[in-house]
Amino acid sequence: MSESQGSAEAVAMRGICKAFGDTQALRSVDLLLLPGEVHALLGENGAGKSTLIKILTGILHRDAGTIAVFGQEIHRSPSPASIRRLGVRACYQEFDLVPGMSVIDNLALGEEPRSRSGALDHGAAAARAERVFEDIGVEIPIRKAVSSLAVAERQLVAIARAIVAGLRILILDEPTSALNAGEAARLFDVIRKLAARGIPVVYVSHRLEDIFEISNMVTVLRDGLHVSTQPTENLTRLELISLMTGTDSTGRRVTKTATHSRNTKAALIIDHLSAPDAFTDITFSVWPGEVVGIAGSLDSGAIDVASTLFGRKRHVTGSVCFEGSPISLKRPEQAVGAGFAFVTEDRKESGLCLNLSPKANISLTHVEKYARWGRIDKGLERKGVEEIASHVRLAPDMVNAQIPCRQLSGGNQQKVLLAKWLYRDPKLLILAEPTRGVDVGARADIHAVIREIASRSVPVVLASSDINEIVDVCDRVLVMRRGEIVDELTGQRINGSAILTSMLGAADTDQVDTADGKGRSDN
Amino acid sequence: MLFVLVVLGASIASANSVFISTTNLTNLLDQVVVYALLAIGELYVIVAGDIDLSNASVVAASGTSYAAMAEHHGLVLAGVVALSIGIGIGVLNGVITVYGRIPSFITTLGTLTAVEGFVLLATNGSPIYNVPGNFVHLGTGKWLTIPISVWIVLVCAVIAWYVLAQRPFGRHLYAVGGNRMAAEVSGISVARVRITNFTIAGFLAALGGIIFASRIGSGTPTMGANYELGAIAAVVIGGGDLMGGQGGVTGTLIGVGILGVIANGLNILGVSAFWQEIAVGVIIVAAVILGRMTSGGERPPV
Repeated sequence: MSESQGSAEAVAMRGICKAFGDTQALRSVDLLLLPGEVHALLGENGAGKSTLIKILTGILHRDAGTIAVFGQEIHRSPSPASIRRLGVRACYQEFDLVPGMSVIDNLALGEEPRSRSGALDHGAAAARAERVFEDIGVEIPIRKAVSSLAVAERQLVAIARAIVAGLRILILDEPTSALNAGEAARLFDVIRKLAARGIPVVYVSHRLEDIFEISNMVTVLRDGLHVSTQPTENLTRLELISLMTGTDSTGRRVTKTATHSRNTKAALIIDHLSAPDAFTDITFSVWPGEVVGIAGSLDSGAIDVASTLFGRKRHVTGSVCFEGSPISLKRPEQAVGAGFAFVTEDRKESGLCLNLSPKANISLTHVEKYARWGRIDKGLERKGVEEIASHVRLAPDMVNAQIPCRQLSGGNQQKVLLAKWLYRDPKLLILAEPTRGVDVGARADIHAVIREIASRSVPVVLASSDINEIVDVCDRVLVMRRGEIVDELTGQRINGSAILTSMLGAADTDQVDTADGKGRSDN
Repeated sequence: MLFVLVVLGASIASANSVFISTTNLTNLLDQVVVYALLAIGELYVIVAGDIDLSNASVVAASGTSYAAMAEHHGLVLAGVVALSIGIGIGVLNGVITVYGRIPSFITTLGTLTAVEGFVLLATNGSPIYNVPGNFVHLGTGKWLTIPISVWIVLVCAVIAWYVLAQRPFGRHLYAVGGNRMAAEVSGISVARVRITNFTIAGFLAALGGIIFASRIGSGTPTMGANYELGAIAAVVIGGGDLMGGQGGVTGTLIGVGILGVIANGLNILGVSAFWQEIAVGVIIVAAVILGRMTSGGERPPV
């Protein structure tokens, strides 16, 4: 791994910069892959991992920096197809397989072997399929339709497809999140076989146990910066975590003033809530004015818990009690009727009409109030909406802008959404990844608004994979992993390291210093 | 889009000045009146994210019933009956679509075909000629040199503009079309909005049928055939989005104007009917592509 092997690098990304509007997603990031290397890419949400991968696969175009694949320079705005032709293939959660077709046919897609007459040579296609799976050492029923296979098998078929199409560099993004231990082990065997053949693998994941098992190099990103690249064996879990979280510092922070007390009864009581394939046995309470955070990575079930509170998830068992009485949350209308407000990263899903102006959206729930003799009094509407908007720190000229909301920045869209819900005086505010894709300034504003709402004795539930957000805004933190609540943190223990440690399950006792008996408390 | 209309009109006029003669222009207006009413009705429906294919058959149903009843029951009663038929079909469209939870495309396709069948059945396939003397007054009379029918269209257009731009109901329409779930969650009765739209469209189509019958002095079962497509095209040319949430009255009227100018203009230029069809098709697509390209500074409908 020395400089003299420069020309042997499979992938050389140097000085990659990428900005989205005001947000700098990547700041001069390097990523070097040698043939046969299994290279893990780590970082919290928003660190820039997916952006970097998307730039490599050509889905996004870099602003600056150089990329070379097998020594070949890639120009500034390549097409994804041209990158694929070089053999760079990414396998995501959504595999690009055709569910209704058989494994053989899926593998043959685009690479159909033809007989002399030009027709499809089924025999050759079947033989090739058998060969591929034999090579990587797995058994798959090749004549069955892909839709009848288990997720783990589909994933292997996706990889096999990439191999048939000329795989030279493999990128995997959270590949084990839907696999059990046995299936994960089988996947790792396949990865090792590919690596042994000289194919470098980029492994993006939150699972520290995976990373220590399968990777030989690790690159850590944080806030768009390249923090470190080292051989995996040189690091311990705690060192990895501290590289990922760094010293606490992300610009403006919100001051948390106490907004709740336990003297009153709990506003929201959740008891043994379970949803198949999402989360099990969730039990917690929220007091008026308290901001409870549910911290967890994207597949931990945290977001699903929030969706359930808004009537968006089916087949949920367990009970929810609000203000003393049980409440049924099978449909969003029921949640709205109870006075719940819901803000997610998907503005459309949360109730923003992207075709309408900010003002129209904010006034939508009560536009009749501004009507005089059937006609909307635009002046009244303006005043009313500006007043509401001031509570969410949305500037008047933004409120009055005659542009459809889809043209607003993410941060402003979220503020419009918050304003819209605020008007209805919500009795419970549920947030899921509310500042995803939002710039730093708007983020701080939104956090301040959340605290302000809490100060009106409104209970708040915030589900997020953004650890800094959880730390900044919440009074109490529940950490979820693989569908279960694994930890509850209060007071001093609400800090980045403790949360991340619980989130990733890096609780190997031989890695933690327990000599002083304090265990995993504040670092 | 106004630009397109002006350019089209100017080029046809320069090719043959008969185009801009008063006679011809009045002729043109006459021809587009029914289209305009259908298009305005369609606008309500499309803005809320639905579509109405049945208005062409409503024209036939209302026109033939108006003609059939006028002789023995007087124009007013005949008119009321015709309009009620339109309203009834509209309500049917709305109720089936909303409570049957099926796409409006399918519902209105069904009513389009079934109603047409009914009309043919009721008229035995032949036109109804027995009409009283003053039957044609509505369709051919003028007030202040402008055809009465055009005045009717103007009134309907102004009402539509007022509702869409100035009343809460209009807001609700754009919201339902933009994000139905968001509208629901904001407390808007989406069902009521959608059914109302179909009813309005049915009413306007029936009005169109009455004017059409009045103009030709009879009621034929095939009147208005295929008009629904032109009405939809007019809305889209005028800036409407078939997915819902966009569209306006002025744009729609310009769209109707463009369609009318093409048909009338090509006639004046002596272009064969077959070439006309080709031209209409090409110009519709070109107009929309042009419109999308130039809508840089996109303004929201409200």
